[in-house]
Amino acid sequence: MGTLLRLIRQNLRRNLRHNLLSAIGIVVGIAAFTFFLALSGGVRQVVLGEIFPVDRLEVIPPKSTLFGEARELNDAVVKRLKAPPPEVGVAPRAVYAKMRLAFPARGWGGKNVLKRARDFYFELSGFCDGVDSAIMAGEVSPPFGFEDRATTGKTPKCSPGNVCPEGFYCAWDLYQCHKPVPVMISRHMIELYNGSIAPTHPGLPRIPDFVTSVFRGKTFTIELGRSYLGSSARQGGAPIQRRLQLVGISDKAIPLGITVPIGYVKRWNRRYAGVKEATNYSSVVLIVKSKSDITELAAYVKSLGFDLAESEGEKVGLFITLATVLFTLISVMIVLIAAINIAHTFMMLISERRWEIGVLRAVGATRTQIRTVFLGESAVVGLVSGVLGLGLACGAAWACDWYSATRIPDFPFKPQTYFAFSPGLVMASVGFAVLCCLLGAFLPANRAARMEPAAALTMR
Amino acid sequence: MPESLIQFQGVNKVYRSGRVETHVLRDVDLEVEQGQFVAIVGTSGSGKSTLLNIVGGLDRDYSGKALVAREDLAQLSDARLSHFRNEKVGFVFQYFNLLDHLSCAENVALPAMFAARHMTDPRERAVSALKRVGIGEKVNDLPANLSGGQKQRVAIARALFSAPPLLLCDEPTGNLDSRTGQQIIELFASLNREDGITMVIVTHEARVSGAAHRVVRLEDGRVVDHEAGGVGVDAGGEGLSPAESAEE
Repeated sequence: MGTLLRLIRQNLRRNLRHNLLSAIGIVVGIAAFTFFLALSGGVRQVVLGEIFPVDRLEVIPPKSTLFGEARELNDAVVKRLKAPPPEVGVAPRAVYAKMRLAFPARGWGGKNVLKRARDFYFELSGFCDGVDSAIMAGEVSPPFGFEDRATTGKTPKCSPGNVCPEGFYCAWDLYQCHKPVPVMISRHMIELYNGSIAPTHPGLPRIPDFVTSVFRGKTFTIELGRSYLGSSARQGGAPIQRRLQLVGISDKAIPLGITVPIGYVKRWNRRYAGVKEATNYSSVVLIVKSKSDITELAAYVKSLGFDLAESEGEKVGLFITLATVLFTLISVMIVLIAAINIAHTFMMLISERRWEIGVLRAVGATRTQIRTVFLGESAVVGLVSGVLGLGLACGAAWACDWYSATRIPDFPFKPQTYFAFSPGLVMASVGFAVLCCLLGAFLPANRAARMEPAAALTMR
Repeated sequence: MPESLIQFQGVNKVYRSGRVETHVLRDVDLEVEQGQFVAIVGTSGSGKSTLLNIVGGLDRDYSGKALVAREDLAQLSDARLSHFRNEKVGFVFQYFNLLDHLSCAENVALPAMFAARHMTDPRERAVSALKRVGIGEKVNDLPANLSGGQKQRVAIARALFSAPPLLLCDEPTGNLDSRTGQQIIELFASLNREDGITMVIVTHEARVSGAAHRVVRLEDGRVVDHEAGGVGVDAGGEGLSPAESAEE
């Protein structure tokens, strides 16, 4: 085999011009193939990994029931979702319930930290979720935590003038010193701020990393039971104010709004919205072990009579898949046309080298060896074309990333790179190039192998 | 009694082009003993080269029985026939058939690339074969830099590379001037005499047949005559040694 490889190398060197010309199509096709698949992979990573994670299902109560009792998402249902029966075949990696703030509320803050004359004001109703503290464990770095602080430690009385020890604030309705309510936000909020708010408000700093930013640990105030729209809670009495503290970011936090430990929301809902709103969850999230488990778990959820929140990720994922398929098909067409060109080139080379094939057969080359020589040449052309195509795709990707980084204004979730060149993609691209070249050279190589030596020798 | 290296019994060869059939060989019976120097002569189109191709296993589209080196060529698979060509036969052609992009040594060692058994140090063997034919100094030259006679010597060295018992030559002097042709004939005679290689040479040159032990004449695809050849170039002792004759 080693000596055949030497012959292949010599032949390739001899027919360098032919081989280079026929390789151009493969290089372009593979470059396009790799570029679009890497782009698809990169965009998919950002969109489905960060913006719309697809590793989870969100269970919601059915929108309407024609007959029978309304289904409620309560602790019993959560328990069943956590441990599906064996016949389902799969179980979620984690399950957590979400409870939405169900009454008017509002908030303000940011004046000091952003060095502005006025605070930012925001509505909270519909933009505040409570989740189990345990699910956020590990996502908040010390000294902060995401526990229900009202249930831990002593709550000293406020001193005259509403003064409390460091780390506490005075809940004036109770005249007690409380620790601020921990708040998690999603990366959407940071990206939205960085991409849309900071660039349009001179003086506002961007937040490259929340953990090291000035926002971490900062507090703001919310008022429960009253909104800026003029509505008030139906029950619960006078509005109360609470201090909240930003402690971290998490992809489990509500995309637009704030997320606090569920105990707070339960107590606040009980006071201002009623027992039912403090008992039933607004949704339950199932984080899957593998994306392939989604189908089974979705069916199980449906069998329990609950709905699944429509996933933006699925829609965007479908769009990305369709776009990828389209561009990949175009690339594959280019490569296949190039393979036809390879076939033509090899057919021509074999016609030119017919006499030479006769000589090789005369000195003892078998049909298999002749076939191996030509297929070997095509495989090397494919390998080199694949590597060159890959290089071209990487260069084009680098140029796109450079253009985006230097010329395109920031936008939410703007990635550092739009491309994902995985080892699998690299191998698939080079492998596809080799395969197409082998495919193109297959018939010519067979034709060469079938030549009768005596007839071939007469062709000089 | 010497063993028969080639045995043809009723060998026929027909070329078909549409409905037209051309009989190139008709009921050829031929026997060549080991160590013989046989010249096959005849007019153009008489079937000489076709006969040689069948002997060498280059053409297996024939009828009749062709035994060469105890192998029934028609019965061999492609792989075994290829190994037969690799080990049992050396070919020398009129137009040398050297690969222009390979050096002399690489051309000579070409059979090693396709040998069924691994050959140790094929380059050394190639150099030795080139020395045997008198052009040991041309090891690294490309064929384009050689004269016609030198090219034919490289081709002969390639034919000798696997040390085959049989050398088949198709008009080996047809593309050479008379002096160089004579030197090549002397080289063949020397190989036959000293190494015991059986030579079958297709030619229409009288001086080649003059060097042979035996002359087989073909006419219209039939063997019409077996006759004793000349006494051979060695008889008079006037032939040049390979090294001397290579100095063209």
